[in-house]
Amino acid sequence: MMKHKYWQLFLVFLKLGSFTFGGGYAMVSLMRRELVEVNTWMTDDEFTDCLAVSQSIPGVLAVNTSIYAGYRVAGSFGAMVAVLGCVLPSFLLVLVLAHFYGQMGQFPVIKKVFLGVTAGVTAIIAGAVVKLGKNAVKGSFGLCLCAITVVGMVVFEIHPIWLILGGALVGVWYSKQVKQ
Amino acid sequence: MIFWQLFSTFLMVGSFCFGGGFAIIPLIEKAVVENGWLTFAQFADVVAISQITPGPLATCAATFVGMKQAGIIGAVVAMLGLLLPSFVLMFIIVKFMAQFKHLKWVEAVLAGIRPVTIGMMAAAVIFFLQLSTLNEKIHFLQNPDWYHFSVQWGAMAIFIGVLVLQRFKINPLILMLSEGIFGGLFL
Repeated sequence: MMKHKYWQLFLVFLKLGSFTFGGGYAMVSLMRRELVEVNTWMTDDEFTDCLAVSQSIPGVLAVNTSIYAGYRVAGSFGAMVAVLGCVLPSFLLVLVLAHFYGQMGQFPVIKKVFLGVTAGVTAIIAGAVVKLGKNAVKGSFGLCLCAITVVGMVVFEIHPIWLILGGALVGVWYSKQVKQ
Repeated sequence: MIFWQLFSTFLMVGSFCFGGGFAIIPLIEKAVVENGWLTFAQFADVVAISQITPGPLATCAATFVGMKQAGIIGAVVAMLGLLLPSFVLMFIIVKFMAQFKHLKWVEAVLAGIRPVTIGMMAAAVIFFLQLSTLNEKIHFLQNPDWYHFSVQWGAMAIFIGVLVLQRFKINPLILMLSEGIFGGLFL
């Protein structure tokens, strides 16, 4: 009986992992549909919890949500099965592409296609910066941190780790200031 | 040994991965380009590949770099490094779930990190804009003549075009296909 559930879980996450382009957040709405509506493995509230926790810790979002959801549905082994299903399609496909990447140099048109996609993706990221920035960058505090990050990264080429740690420390410091 | 390097590099990436795929572009770039595993142009290709394949950027990068450096086992090892922090942290949280929700400092930490991730995404935009329109990443500190550059207007056109087009709810896959076709034909 349990084996059946593990297999079902695996298939659901295999589907999620195969059809979501564009990263973790894109996968979230599809995941909600599969877990809450189609399979009724979780309630909406539980799924919201899942999302909240997954965004509160570091790690690939799609992986975090898969672990949490998989664990809720079928324990530790369920978590592993869910993650496996989620990353397998990408893993296999990229493995193949990486293998042939070296030979792509013989086809300059592929380089141009990639360049086109890169230019387009850059614009999409820019759009996401604006859209997410409205919520995530609040007040002069947020704006300062954001600006320092950009300058730090682009001009001074500081490692992102320091900026993230700095942001965390500043966040804690700031919350103490606000309390006073 | 290369396996240990792959594992520890992506362990680092997985441990500092905040804010979703695009925000961690600078993180992965530092990890993978600075130690010579990929050139910046190759890294941009990996980002492009991650867009045309399902799955997030981080897993694509881990698989690709791992494979290039040490074959299929390298790819598996890199993936394991990437996934491990998630498993460990999730395990801790699930055990202490009730307390976790009420820790005020968690919210404070995240409030500080959120603007930083937006900044990182903005930096990624600047980097890729440099790469696709100027053909290289500019090193401001090392290169005092940095303002001498030539613009590739074809790529700039695609950038501006998509910037405008994404306002209209076009299917992202179609958008990507047209970017690729435009690039292949006109660049």
